Parts: sequence; structure tokens; C-alpha cells
Amino acid sequence: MTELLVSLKNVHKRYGGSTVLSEVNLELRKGECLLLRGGNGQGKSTLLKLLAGLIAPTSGERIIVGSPPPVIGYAPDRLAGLAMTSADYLRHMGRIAGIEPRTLQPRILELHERFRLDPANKTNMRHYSKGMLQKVNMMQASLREPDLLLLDEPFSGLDKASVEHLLSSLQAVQQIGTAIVVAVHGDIPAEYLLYRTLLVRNGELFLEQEQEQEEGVRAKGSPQREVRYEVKSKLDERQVNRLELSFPAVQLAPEDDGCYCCFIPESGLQRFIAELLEAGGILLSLQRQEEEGKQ
Amino acid sequence: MRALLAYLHKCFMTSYRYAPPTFVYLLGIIFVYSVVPNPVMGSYAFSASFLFIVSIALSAAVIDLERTNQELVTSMHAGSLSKLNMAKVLYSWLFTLPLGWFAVAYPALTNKFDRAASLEELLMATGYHAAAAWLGASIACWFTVKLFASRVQSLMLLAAVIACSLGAKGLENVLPQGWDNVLHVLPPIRFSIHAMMNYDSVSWAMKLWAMIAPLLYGSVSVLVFAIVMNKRKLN
Repeated sequence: MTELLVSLKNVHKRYGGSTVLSEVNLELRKGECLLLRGGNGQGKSTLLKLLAGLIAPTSGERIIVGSPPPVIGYAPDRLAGLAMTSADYLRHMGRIAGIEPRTLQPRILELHERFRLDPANKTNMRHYSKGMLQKVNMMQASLREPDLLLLDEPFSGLDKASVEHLLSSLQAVQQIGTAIVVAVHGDIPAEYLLYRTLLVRNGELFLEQEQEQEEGVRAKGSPQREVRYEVKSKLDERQVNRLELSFPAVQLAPEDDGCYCCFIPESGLQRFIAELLEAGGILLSLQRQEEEGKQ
Repeated sequence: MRALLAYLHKCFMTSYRYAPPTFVYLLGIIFVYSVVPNPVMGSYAFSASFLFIVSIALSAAVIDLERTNQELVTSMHAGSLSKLNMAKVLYSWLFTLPLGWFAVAYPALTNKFDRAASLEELLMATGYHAAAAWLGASIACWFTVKLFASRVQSLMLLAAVIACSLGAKGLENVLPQGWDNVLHVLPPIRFSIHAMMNYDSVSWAMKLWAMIAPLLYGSVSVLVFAIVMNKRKLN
């Protein structure tokens, strides 16, 4: 069994009279990835803040294991654009975190390269797009090479290419032993990320699924068959917005006849269709496709 | 701590929140001394009281300078919310120090007094201004929006505390016997004002106590605030 980093024991969290989290028991170990799924106001963000130690539980215990304690990186759901460049911002955060100047500068350059931002860009963060701010948010959380990375809606505002890029970055940090907790509304197309999913509903946690990596196939370098579905549906603007919010990595392409087309990996199909129908959308066609995947 | 102070300075400068209280103070001092001559320590009593109010306004702006999410991020990097809050109060005080130096130096250098101020008076006045600024900064941190249901509520209560602190002497006379103990919990700016207004007649012990009391009260206030916020965290 891998090393334990943080655990929550019988944690309850109440604000005023309302219970946000009740009887939460959770253990996070080195190298594991946990996906927290749930709608707005279900307690995902509160759970992340509790894990980060930013808020205290009303009752129960948060136990940090290890000496020195694990380094925790936290990215809130959105970052306010400050009147400074991304490099300046990271420099300030790095110094506050106590990172040596000689290691901080190369780290800032490395993170800019990883998240495809120009470190020499003199544009003020106030003028950054939501996606760019989200990247800076991820960068600040990764500054100290954390043992535990807590990400609140990290895919919000990112385009498809950035989402894929972020997922591959997460896969890389998971492989070096970083534990990751990601709070999302919907599913993530993370076929190559080993994770377990917990559903957060009315402040309670439910185990939803455990996705296993097909290690053998890829380790041998043999081609993997990717199965995806082409979904055609009739949606209005509100329904499109809802689906885009729940499935940020899915691109809904409008067609000439007013319908929408998109491609969904097999793992996320069931949830996508359920959300589409629940939103009031009309499913027109569903077509299975198989193709040679990544090695 | 230096890294936190540098970051807060960058944020505060680019927010321009410092502008209204700073300019009100500087222009206020220039305006008041447009009429000459003025008594030395009596004038400093006014500028120190004025700085007490201005430092409260500046500190309140610094305490709520960051948006909630950014505050979460900064306190994560700083290691604790207490450290961040201490840095904010310290930064507020450091920011107001040059205002105090201006209030002491401006009338002395431009001959606004009825006589030349002695070196002792200049040094003591600098100390009283610094103590008043520290007291103001340390009180304002309690009136952050994080501890109150609404901004209006916190501002109303803060205004009441300022008024009671400055008018404590008058309150002492109107409060029923026994109730005057309540005055002990008020920020002790009244000691500084009294010592400066009666500078020639009060003892040295009183002169020093009038400087130490606000510094001590402010330090205890900041310490208790840090403990409360550490327990409360960012709820």
C-alpha cells in the first residue's frame, strides 16, 4: 500500500444552520488520482478546502501524515487577474512559499513552457482570458512540486487542446507520485489517467467508479483500439451551455440543420446521454466508431 | 515576511486604494497649517489623531485587498492565514509611517509653529504618530468583512469605535459611576492626545506611557486577531 498523505475522519462541515459535508471519511495516498464529481453547491469545493487545510471542519479530524508534512498545491475554481504579468505573479507566490531564487526562475520558465504561455509576455493578468488565468492558476499550484495537488474545476475556460494538454500534464505528475484531487461538474475524458471517482451529493461521498489503466496493452507498444461515439442531437442554447459546462472537454459542433454533433469516448457516453436527456435535448443518432489509438 | 510585504505593496500600489486616505491626510495637513502660527505639541496632537483615523482606513483597505480565491492561494503559499494577516497589518503600519514623518516635518520645516520645535518634541511627536498609526492599523483588522455579516455593519461599528476612542475623555464624564471601566477596553489614543495637549505639564512617565500604551494595545490586538483568524480560518 502506498504512503498515506492526508486523511479526513468523520468530518462534518456546517455553515450556519446548513450542513455542507457530513460524515466524510477519506484517505489520500501518494500517486493516486481522485475525481470529485457533483453539481453546484454539493460540497466539492468545501471538501478541497478542508483537504488543503484552508478551512476547519466543524467536527471530525484532518490528519496530515509525514515529516516534513506533504507539500500541498491548491488551485481554486478561478483566479482573479492581478495587475502584474504571469511571471511576476509566480515570482511573488514562489518567494512567499520560500522557494530559493536560483530554483524559482527556472521553475517559472519550466511551468510557462509546460502550460504553453510566454514568460516574456508583458501583458497584465487583468487582460488575460479565462483560459489563460486558469493556466496561471495551475502553474501557481504546481510551483513547489506538490505531493498533493488539489484542483477545483481546472478545465473550466480551457479549450479542447488545453484540456488534453492539462490531462497529459496531470498524467505526468501522477507518474512521479503526486496525488491529485480534481473537482469537476461532469466527466473528464481521461482515459489514460488512473483514477477513482467519488460522487459528492448533498455533502455525502459515494464511490462511483474506478478506472483501470490498460497497462499491458500500452506497455507492449501494441496498438490500442479507441472506441468513441458520434452523437447527433437537437439542442437549444441553454442546453448547449449546460452540456459544455458539465463536459468541458467535449466540443459541440453546430451543423447546418440546427443540430449539434460531437464525439464522446466510450467511458463517458452513458453520463453524457443521461445529461443530454435530462437537459431536455433530443437524441437524433448515435454511431459507434473504432480507430487505432495512441501507443 | 519580506516576500509577503513586497507582494502586498505591489497589489496595494496597483489597486490605487491608498489614494483617497493618503491624499485626504496630506491635503488635510497642508490645509490645517495654512493658518499660522500654531502651538507645537497641540498641533501634533491633532495630526496624530488624524493619522489614527487614516491608518484605520488604509488598514481596512489592505486587509480586504485580495479577492477570496487569491487570499486562499496566498495563505497556502505563506503557510498560514495568520502569517498573511500579520503581514497585512504590518504593511498597513509601514505604509502610514511616512505620513507621520510628513506630519511632523512639514510644519517644522515650513515655520508653521509659534516657535521652533525642539529636537525632543520632534522625536516624541514622531513616536506618538507611529504609535497612533500602529493602533489604527491593529484595530481596523477586526473590522474585515470576514468577521461581519455585511460591510455596512462593520463600517458602522468601526465608526463607533473611532468616535468613542477619540471622545473617551468626554465619555468618562457622562458615564455613571462604575461604568467608566468600560473605557479601558477602548483603544488608548486618548492617552497620546492628552500627553501632547498637556506636554509641558505631564510627567515623563505619562509621556512615555502615552506612547507605549497604544503600541502595547495594538500588539495584543493583532496577536488575538491572528489567533482568532487561525481558529476560524477562511470560513
